[in-house]
Amino acid sequence: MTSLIGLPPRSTGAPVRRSRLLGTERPAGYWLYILPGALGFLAVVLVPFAMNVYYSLTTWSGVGEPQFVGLDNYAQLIGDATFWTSFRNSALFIVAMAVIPTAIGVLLAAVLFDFIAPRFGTRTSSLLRALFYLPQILPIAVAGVLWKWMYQPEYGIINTLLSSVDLDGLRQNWLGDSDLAIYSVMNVLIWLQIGYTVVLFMAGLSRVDPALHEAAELDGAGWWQRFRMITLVQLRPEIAVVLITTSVAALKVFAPIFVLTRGGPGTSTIVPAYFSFSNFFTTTRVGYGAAVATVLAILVTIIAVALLRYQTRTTEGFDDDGR
Amino acid sequence: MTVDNLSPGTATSATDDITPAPARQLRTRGGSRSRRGISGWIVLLIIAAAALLMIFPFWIAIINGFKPAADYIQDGPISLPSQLDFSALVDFWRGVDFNRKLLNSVAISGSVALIAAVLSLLSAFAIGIGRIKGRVWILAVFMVAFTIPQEALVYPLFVLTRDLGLYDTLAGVIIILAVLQSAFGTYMLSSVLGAFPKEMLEAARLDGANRRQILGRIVLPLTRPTLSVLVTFFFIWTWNDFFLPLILLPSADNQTVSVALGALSGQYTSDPTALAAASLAGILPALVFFLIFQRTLMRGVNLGAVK
Amino acid sequence: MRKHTAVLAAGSLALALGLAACSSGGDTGGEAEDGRTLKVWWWENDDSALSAAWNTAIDIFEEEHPDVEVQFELKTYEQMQQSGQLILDSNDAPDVLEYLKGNATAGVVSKAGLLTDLTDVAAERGWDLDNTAQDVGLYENGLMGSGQRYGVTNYGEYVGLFYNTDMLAEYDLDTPETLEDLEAVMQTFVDNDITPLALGSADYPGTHLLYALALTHMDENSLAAYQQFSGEPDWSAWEQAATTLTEWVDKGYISTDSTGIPAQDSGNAFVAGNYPLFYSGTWWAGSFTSDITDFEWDQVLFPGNDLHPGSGGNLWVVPEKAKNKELAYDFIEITQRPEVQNQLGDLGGVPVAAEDDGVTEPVGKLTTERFNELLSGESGQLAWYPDWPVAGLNDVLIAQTSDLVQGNVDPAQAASNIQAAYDAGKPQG
Repeated sequence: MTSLIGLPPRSTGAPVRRSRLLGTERPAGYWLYILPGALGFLAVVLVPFAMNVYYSLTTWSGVGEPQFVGLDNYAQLIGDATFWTSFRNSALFIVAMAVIPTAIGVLLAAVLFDFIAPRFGTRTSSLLRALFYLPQILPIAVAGVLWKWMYQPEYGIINTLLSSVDLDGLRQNWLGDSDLAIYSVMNVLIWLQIGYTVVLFMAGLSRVDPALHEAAELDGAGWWQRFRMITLVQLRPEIAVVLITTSVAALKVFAPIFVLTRGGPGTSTIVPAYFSFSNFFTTTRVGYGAAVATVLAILVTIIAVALLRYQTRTTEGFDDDGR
Repeated sequence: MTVDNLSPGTATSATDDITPAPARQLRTRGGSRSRRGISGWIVLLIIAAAALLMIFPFWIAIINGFKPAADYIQDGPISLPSQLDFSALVDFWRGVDFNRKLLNSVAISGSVALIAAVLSLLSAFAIGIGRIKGRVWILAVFMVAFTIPQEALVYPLFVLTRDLGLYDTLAGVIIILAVLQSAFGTYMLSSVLGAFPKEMLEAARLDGANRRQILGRIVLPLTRPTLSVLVTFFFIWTWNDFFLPLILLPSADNQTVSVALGALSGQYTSDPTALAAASLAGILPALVFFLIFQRTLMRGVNLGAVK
Repeated sequence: MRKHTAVLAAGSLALALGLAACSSGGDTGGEAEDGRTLKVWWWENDDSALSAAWNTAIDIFEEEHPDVEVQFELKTYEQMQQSGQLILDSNDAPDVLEYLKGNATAGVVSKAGLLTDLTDVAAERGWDLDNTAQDVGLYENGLMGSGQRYGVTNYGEYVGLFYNTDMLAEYDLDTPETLEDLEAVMQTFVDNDITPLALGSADYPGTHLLYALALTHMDENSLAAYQQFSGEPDWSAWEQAATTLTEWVDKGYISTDSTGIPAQDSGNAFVAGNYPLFYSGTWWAGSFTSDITDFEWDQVLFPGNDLHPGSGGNLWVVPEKAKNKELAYDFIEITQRPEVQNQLGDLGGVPVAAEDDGVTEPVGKLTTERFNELLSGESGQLAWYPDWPVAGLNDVLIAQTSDLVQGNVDPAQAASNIQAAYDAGKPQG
């Protein structure tokens, strides 16, 4: 998303300043073209979200009439340990989906781009990049099935492997130990995300002027120094955008939890999305689930707005003639 | 989450392949064997080992999906199968009626991709070319549609689709996902169309072309590469989408591949070879799409800059 | 060039309409209100005993109603659990469907008036529903167990102790008859480096075991208090159960890995001969019969207990909005006939209305006879399931069980956590 939105306009060069070129026709006519999209938005997003907010002010089991209770659900949320656990886990998932993959991704991209490629050719680096990228193409549900099997405590791949090299002491109850399960899930998310950041940052690096690197090299800067002084600095826009978008994604994690742990053991891997889902459909406390979803939506929207502001700042020119 | 995730990766990977920076070529030529050195090989080895670790789960699924159960019991998960045994895969395929799930997924993903692309183009035409008033706000609002957590929409959508007779129909899911994804498409296409060469539009207008003709004769042909990239993204996202299809398509006959795998009942997750077969069945279409779409993406982004 | 837009638009429109047409095809047929269609839903897998028996019922129905088209749709359990209420509240509701028994499911929708009251129908048609297994179809103000009849069940189930006869024989062990016997048996296996009890505490088997251990300390009154809110439940029974469970973990009777193991895996481990004992429900009997080939196995009730987890099965219900109710009643009637019920028993299900000696397969005989003993009170009573009283209790029970196995909570805490969830979900007043 970032590159599609953010990068192409930047690379298309100087913004075209335009004023009333199309003034010959009533601009109102263009409203017709946005009508289908707007109606769809109204029916699929706006009205449902308004309904969700309304539900969040009621007690309702999904049948019969919702009972209006004002802000009771929200008041109850504040005292609900599960709710706070779910957001604490979200914070951990931001680490797993945004922070760690970004750190690893930048490093890997830099190594592939200006260490491996110059020495072993772009073919080698492209192949390696493709291997890192592979997990990204899997539907999350499939990745979940795969990792559930890797983690199974009795016949799972990881424990079987550990036993076969006489490391039985390292066998773990990966998803069944409430202290460990969250890290096991985080590991899957990192595995999923690394490819995304590697590919994105490599694209970013191809934008960097090679003269910078060459000049630094002539000045006797080592690879590590160049990485810190040039690569990191030049990739700053990509890094910022990646951190924001993946943090949004991390807050919305649902499928990996649904497939791997269902929030368990206990509530040790619960996330807001799953918490709201289970309130909707398992315990049928629709109002409460709606309140969780509303809080989550507000949080995500705040981050998204931050992204939007960042985007409009970097894609200057798109919106230059008045609003 | 896929929406936030998959797109940039796929898009840029293509960009990168097609438009190799001059820098890189220069260096490849310059960076000769002499520069490899011992440290070069060590780094390559480490990176390659890391890459192999990444694809290890795929490898495990593939070798065990074809492994006879007896082999597995005897030699464990790491050994290569002594013979290719398709029985676990076939059992799974038949057991969950996988053809049906594939068909559902193709129908849903294909329709969503096309409808969302059309919706995106129309909206983006109004915003990027028409430059209608308040477009920044409109875009901001559209952006909400693809960042908002689907949990905040699902229960009302559940109720609304039921009241409209769209619950548990492919059409209901198609409409909803098409709208959600077109929000992203609009956002992206608007910025592309916003940078559209004005001289061309002006010339067309002088020739007496009306809006519809401008859209059909000028904007569409020139944005087709971008559109094909969008269609590809929409297809893959929809294919991978889990949450809404899980809720809105309860019938076994309407399930998609992702949901069928994510909600596997115990009987198919019970023994390792069955699990491997299930994973493999999920991996195969994804791999196929990756191979097919990789080319489309490259073509698309190659021309996509709309200069 | 305009063609392309047109083609694209037309193509996608056609696709959408086509899909809408074929996906709604099934529904439009169901709207016939002239008694020419019967829309039936269930979620049992095609290879299950229930599915086979019910397909027989459909065959019989079609034979007896040649003008009626049966439209069967296979649903999934989880999705019926999630969306059952909304479906029942819609015009898409089928004429007759398998639905989840219990306060949180059938109870809620019966209270909301979404199910047809079958009390009079059952009386008029003379259905024989006079046994405690059929209590799961009775609801009063949303509470299961008494009141009006909203559903009929075809089958029953109970939880018992499966054991590997060969392994017990190998160590000269007798079938345990008391809790002490059972502990002695398990200790012998532990002494020989075998973890005795296959358990999936990531799932229902863990909570069933905890419940069985609690039932050891409960009587009919405290059971009624727990299940039907007739008084204050005996929480000390739960604390004692939690204590026993913790001891069993400490002594190695249960593996701490079990918290990462779902029900299916633990059943498979028993089938593979890795564990000599497995405490779970009769729903395994069918697959054990076909899958266990290299050892002998048998099943007894939990040693020393009078109360055993179990009940009638899920229900046939008729939505209030069903369009062909008479046909639905006919169908339910057919599912209770001996030929359907005997087939169910022979395939390893536990029929509720089979003929004497109608079930001929050994596994069906074993479970059917024992179930009938439980119904008649000869060898104890059905105690339903631990998560029934309150919606959402299941998650809490699973969490507490796995925390106990992991040693994250002490027994007193676990009991009070369960009590807290129970009290929070209890009907007010």
